[in-house]
Order: sequence, then structure tokens, then C-alpha cells
Amino acid sequence: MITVLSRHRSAIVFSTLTVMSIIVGLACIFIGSVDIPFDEVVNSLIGKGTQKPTWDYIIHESRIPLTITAALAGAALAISGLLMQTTFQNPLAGPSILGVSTGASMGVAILTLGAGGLLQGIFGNHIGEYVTNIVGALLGAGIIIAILIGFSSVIRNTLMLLIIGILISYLSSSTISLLNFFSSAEEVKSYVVWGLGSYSGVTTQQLPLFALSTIIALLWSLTLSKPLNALLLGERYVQNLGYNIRNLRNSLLTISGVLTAIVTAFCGPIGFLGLIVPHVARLMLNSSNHVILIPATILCGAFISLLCTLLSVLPSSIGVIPINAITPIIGVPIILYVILNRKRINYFN
Amino acid sequence: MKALLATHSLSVGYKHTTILKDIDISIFPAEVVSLLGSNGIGKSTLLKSLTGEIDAISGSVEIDNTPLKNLSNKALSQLIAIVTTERVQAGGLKVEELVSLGRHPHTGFFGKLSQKDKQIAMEAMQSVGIYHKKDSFTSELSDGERQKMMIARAIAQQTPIIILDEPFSFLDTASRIEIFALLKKISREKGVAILLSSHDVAQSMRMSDRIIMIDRNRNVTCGTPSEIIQEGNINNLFDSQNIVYDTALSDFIPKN
Repeated sequence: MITVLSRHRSAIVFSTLTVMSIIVGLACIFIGSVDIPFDEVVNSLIGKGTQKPTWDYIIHESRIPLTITAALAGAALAISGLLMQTTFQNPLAGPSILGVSTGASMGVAILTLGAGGLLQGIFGNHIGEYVTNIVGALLGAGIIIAILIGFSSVIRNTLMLLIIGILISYLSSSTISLLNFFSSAEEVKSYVVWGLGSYSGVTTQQLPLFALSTIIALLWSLTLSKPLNALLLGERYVQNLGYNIRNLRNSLLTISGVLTAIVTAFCGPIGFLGLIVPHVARLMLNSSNHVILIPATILCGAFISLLCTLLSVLPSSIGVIPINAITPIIGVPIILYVILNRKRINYFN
Repeated sequence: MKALLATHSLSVGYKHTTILKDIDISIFPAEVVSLLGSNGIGKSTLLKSLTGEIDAISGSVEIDNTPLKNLSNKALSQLIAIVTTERVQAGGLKVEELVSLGRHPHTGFFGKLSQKDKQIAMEAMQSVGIYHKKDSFTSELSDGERQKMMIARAIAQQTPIIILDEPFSFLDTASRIEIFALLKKISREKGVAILLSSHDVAQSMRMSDRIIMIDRNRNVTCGTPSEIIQEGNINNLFDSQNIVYDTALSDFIPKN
């Protein structure tokens, strides 16, 4: 009886999330800082063209890439957070808290500000900038993940690991500040714009690469439910079930780091989504079984990210609110709820 | 009969400290063996060395006639199942889901449970009497029920050896007796070799087939309960000079 009900529950969650994501996604295409009449948007979408050619351009070159980017980035960060929470058995782990996002930013800062446009010189200005970002973010995130992995083999205590992550995060931030201090105004400006975090930076030329890499990583994550479920039992049981705990941990953190690095490279540091979405997905499903939790986290990440995007463009004529100004407003209440109800919810040891 | 688990001049400990040495013990199919010893004497260290969680300092452990060192994680997971002292929370999993995790070494890449896997998990839950709770969340269980669930998980792993580190520590007397009897039943019915560590001397002396005793001088001896008593070793179990073993009660009492 209860199994039937819970099977029902996950079906309801999946269909609700899908429908809501589609609705909010469409809203992101119909609503924006430029007022475009409803039927004109429809015309543009079905390829009939619009009265004003700029409208067609805005929809195809700005709103559609923005929507796709928001959905994929949200899903990617959410999965990154889920992998970290389960690996560290810690409900407060996430790419921003453990310093992986900041690490990726630091990598970008070092290459943009420190290396003085080295890659830009090689690839030319436009492509150079985003190659710089990708390389920088992957390097930065990679370094932080390597440090976390290094510490995690020495320090077994997950709370200590969290503290180390926070310390790393502060160090990365101070490195970024120092680089900013010693750089030219122009370099700083280009970094600062990226550093605000935005889904609108991904152009139609960059979108295929971004989409392909996140989709591959997301599909990969769908194959991880077996080891992730085993991790719920704690380290000793994981080992007893036939896994090499160190290898397992390292590979999960690597996938998590790559997901965060890709998003950070293209969109800048986006806070909170990685931390909150897995909790929302668990609460909705009332389960931490990764067989359903991973796809639910992907859907929920896309949905919440699209919702934040929609909220950011709602003021319409006044302009676009930075996405990082919205994620905490949604995120903080959820985290508080999880912390205050920790006894009752206790998904982890 | 061939031993399922045997050690040869085994020394265990951490990096530079040997905690126990010259350990020669064997465990056979269908028996329940209790590991007795005072707090901090090295019971958990010995058990972890037997399950391959920590490396032996010297000597060897053989599982089913194969040196532990030569066994892969995967192979080992089909030979030994463990129940640890740690309190597994795993909230958000239902009892059935958690018990089914015991099937991991037998399932494929995606961990999908076959009809047979489900059947085995169900039987494991039935054998420990937790089946009626299969749809409860693990966080909703009492300590006794939780321990039964963890034992069911180990049974579902279908290994010839189950090693339990202080399985009775959170339990009241009724649950202790019940679970010990349950372990005995499993060992008899399925031929499983069961090794458990315990602080309940009386219960272990009454109910175990054999005893492995780590005495106050860190000597490891092995024998049936009556052998342990007859050889007088049992009084060396604790450091305290103020207690003595009473055979009639099969428990320690204050020395007059």
C-alpha cells in the first residue's frame, strides 16, 4: 500500500517538475527586459519572423540560449551538490561551500588577471576569453578538488572537511582580491562582470559546447545511483560492499568538480543552487534513494534555476537583477528549514 | 572441517603500535563465536583486521583458504558481511531499501534488483522479524529494530561469514537474548560462521559455541566456554582483582 503510494509520489514529483520547468522555461522566453507581444514571440518561435527584426534576434540570440543555459546550469550545479553531499555524508556540502566554485573563479582570475591575456593572445580576443575561462575554471576547481581529496584521505571527519573547504574558499577569495588589486582597470572590469555570475553570457556560438559537456556529465551522473546509495550506509559498509572507498570518493568528487567548473567557466560563480536543490528534491520525494533522487535533482535544479532566471527578468524595463541576488533569497529559507528540522529529516549520519 | 576464517601468527595494530600479537584462531561454518575482552583491549582492531579494513602488521588471515591480501574488494564482499558499532542513520531510505543494499555485491552496474534479489531481501527481513517494518523509514525504528535491520542487511549479502562488532551495545536484555538466538538460528540454518564481539560475558558464555578471549595481558585464546573456564583463563579477562567468575551463574561476581 505504502509502496504504491510512494511510487505514486515519485511519479507525481517527476511530472510536476517537468511541467513546471516547461512552463517557467517558456515564461523565460516570453518575458524579458524588452517587451515583445505574446503573438510575436509565438511567431518567432514557429519561424514566421516578427514585425521588428530585433525581436526575432532577441528571442533567438538572447532568450532561448539564456533559458537553455539556465536549465542546464541549474541541473549541473544541483548534481554537483548532490554528489558532494552524499560523498561527504554532509547535508551542508555544496560546490560553493567547499570552495570549488571559488576555486574555479580563482583559476579564471589567475588566467584573466595574472597571466595577462596569454590565451587571449593565442586564440584572439573573443574565443580567447572563453577558452581562458574554461581552462581557468577547470584548473581552479581541479586544484580545490585535489586539495579536498588530499585532506579527505587524511581527515576522516566530515565536519573538519567542511571547515577546510570554507578555509580554502577564503584563501581563494583573497587570492582573487589580490589579483584584482594588482591588475589594470580594464582587466578588472572584464573579470568583475564575469564574477557577478550570469546565464546571459553564453552566446549561441558557445551554447553547443556548454550544452554538450553538461549533458554528458549529467547522463554520467545517472549511472551513479548504485555507489551513491551504498555511501548512505557510511564508509565501512561501502568498503564491505566491495568498493574501494578512496577511488569511489575521488571519482565522485571529480565528476562533481567538472560539473561546477563547466558552469562557472560559462556563467561565472553561481551560488546556492548546488546546496539547496538536493534538499528540495529529497523533501519532495521523501526519499534519499539515488535511483529516483538523481533524476529528480536534475529536474528540480533546472526548475529552480529557471525560476530564479524568470524572477531576475521580471522587473522588465528597469533591467535584469543579477542571478546571485536571487538564489540566496530562495536558498536561505530552505537551508534554515533543513537545519532546524535536522533531527526529523536526518538524511545523513 | 575446514575453517572459513583462520589466522596464522597474526599481529594487529596501527602503523607503529602492535596491539595484539601471535593470534592463531579459526572460525568454522555454522558456529557462533564470541570475542570477549575489556574496553580498549583491541577487539575492534582485531575485527577490522579480519575484515580487511586495516592491514595486518605481520602474519596472515585466510578467508576460505585464500589469503586476505589476495582477495579483491569485490571478492571479499561476497565472503564477509559486517555489522558495525556505528549507528547508521541513512534517513530517507526505507527498511526494505536499506536491507536490499546488502545485495550490492551480487547486482549489476546499475544495482537493479532482480526478482531473486528481492526475494532474498524479503527472506532476510522475515528471518530477523523485521518484515512488517519494511516500508518504515530507517529513522523511525527503535534501537532493537535498527540492529535487526542491519543484521538482515548482512544476511541479504549472503556471505559465508558475518562479523558483528558489539551488536548488543544499544539493546535491552530482551533484545540481546532475542538477537543472539537469532544469530544462532541463522548460523545453524544457513551454515554461516558468525563472529561477534560483546561485553556481555554471561550471555556469551551461555550461548556461544566458542569463545575468543583477549585477556588482560593481551593474550588471545580460543576455546569452548567450558574450556575457557576449566583452563582458568576466564579470570584473566579483566584487570580488576575484585571480581571473580562464578561458574553456576556463568557471570562475574564481586570477590568476597
